[in-house]
Amino acid sequence: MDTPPFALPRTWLLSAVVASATLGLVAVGQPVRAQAAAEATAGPELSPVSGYDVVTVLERAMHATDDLSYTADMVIVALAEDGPQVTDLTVHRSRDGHLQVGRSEAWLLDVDGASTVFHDGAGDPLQFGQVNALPFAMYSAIQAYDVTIDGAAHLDTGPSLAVAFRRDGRLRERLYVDAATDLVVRRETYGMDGTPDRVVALTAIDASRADEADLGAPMALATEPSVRAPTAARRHVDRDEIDAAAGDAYEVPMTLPDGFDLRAGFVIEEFDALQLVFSDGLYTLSVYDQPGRVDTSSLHGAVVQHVDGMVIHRWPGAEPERMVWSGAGHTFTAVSDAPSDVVLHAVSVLPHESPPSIGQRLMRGFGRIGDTLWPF
Amino acid sequence: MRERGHPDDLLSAFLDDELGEADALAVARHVDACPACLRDLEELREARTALRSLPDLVVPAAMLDAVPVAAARAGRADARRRALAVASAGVGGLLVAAFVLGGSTPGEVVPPVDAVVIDHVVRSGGGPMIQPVTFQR
Repeated sequence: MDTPPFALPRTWLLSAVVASATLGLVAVGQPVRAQAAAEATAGPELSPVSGYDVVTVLERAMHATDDLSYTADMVIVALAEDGPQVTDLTVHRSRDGHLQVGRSEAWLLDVDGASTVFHDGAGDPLQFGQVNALPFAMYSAIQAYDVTIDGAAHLDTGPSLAVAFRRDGRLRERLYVDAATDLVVRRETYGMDGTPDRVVALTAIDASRADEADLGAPMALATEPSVRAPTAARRHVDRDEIDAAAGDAYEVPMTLPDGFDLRAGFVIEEFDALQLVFSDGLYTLSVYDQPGRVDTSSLHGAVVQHVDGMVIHRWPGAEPERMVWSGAGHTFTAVSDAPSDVVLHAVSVLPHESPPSIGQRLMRGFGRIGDTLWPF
Repeated sequence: MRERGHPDDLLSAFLDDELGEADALAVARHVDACPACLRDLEELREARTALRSLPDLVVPAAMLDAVPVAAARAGRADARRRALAVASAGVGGLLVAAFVLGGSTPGEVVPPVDAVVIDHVVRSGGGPMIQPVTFQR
């Protein structure tokens, strides 16, 4: 269908100034960053538009990188319980799909299509196997959410269209599709109750199309890696093998609450783990299942939360969301780009240990004392 | 304030006939000539007479018998209290120890959280938008 040309209302100019000031402040210092984060999550002003087909807009966004090379500045604002966490990054994507993401020369994520290497600040790489991304399942998302064009906005990167994902009348996600490149340049994520959870935004883009010159050499760290770790063994498994890998401890569910369906399973020998990949089309949730109970002393920086009878170890403010718990003699590690309350709701049906009552704990303690005093 | 030269500190001994002859004579002469000292001497004599008129107290024999019993009882009560305190501390310590020891059994699995986070991001494509990992603060 025909796409009407973008007009630029005066309100967009004001919005652009505010956004520029906000994102400029992000680089100054922590107190200012906190203020900037709060302003950034307020979202740009939207102007009404008409004549756009949301499926067409999203399809173009999905294929935007097919012939596009770009370098962009990225900022992630995660709203944790104890305040916002702001992360500045640089993203480079070559036309052949080579993707690099760097954080202030501290580390570099390097995805070249055949393998993925993560360099830390000391130049030590961690290599993963063949890239087998589970992309944004647009049509599943359209079925799972009420998807609409919310309006037009003017961001630092230029004019864009705001695509909203709602469930039960509540805004859960808003994507901003850049008018010039069709890239998704801003992603606002909201919790189940509609409160802002995270904002990811490209603040500056230098892009070139297929008929233009590529953007040159990818980024490089100050410290180059000296060795590469062997490729992690990974094997795609079907439903029967998933059940076999889970053993008798529990039955792997085909669906999780909040619309997550089981999409794939892998056995990762390096981690001695079964990876279960769930998705509702918009968010992807990986659950890594390892036999044995978790050694909680190894979870540095984690906080313990008791949620609906679950004992969960979380890292508030870390993105993507990650949490660890034990259940049915297994250790589960969940990683997802979904908000924390959505992830908690989804994994609540998986096995988990409940905290013992005081009586149970005392009885167990007396039993252990007895075993110590009378080991025969 | 009384003038210097009055035999205040000798009046009591004068009443008790404990002064030497010369001192007793000097006090007597002074009291005859000094109304204030005479008044003090009379008050002192009345007070002494009143004290001497009090009846003698006799402690009942039963009370005397009861003293060592009460002392013994008090000692036993102290001992019981001490024993109770020691027992309470012991039980409390045992409960605390049981509560502490009754915690979760330490697990053995060290989940490679950072590695699986990167693994997930790479394989999931980060959703509709590239969303690289950020590490916990």
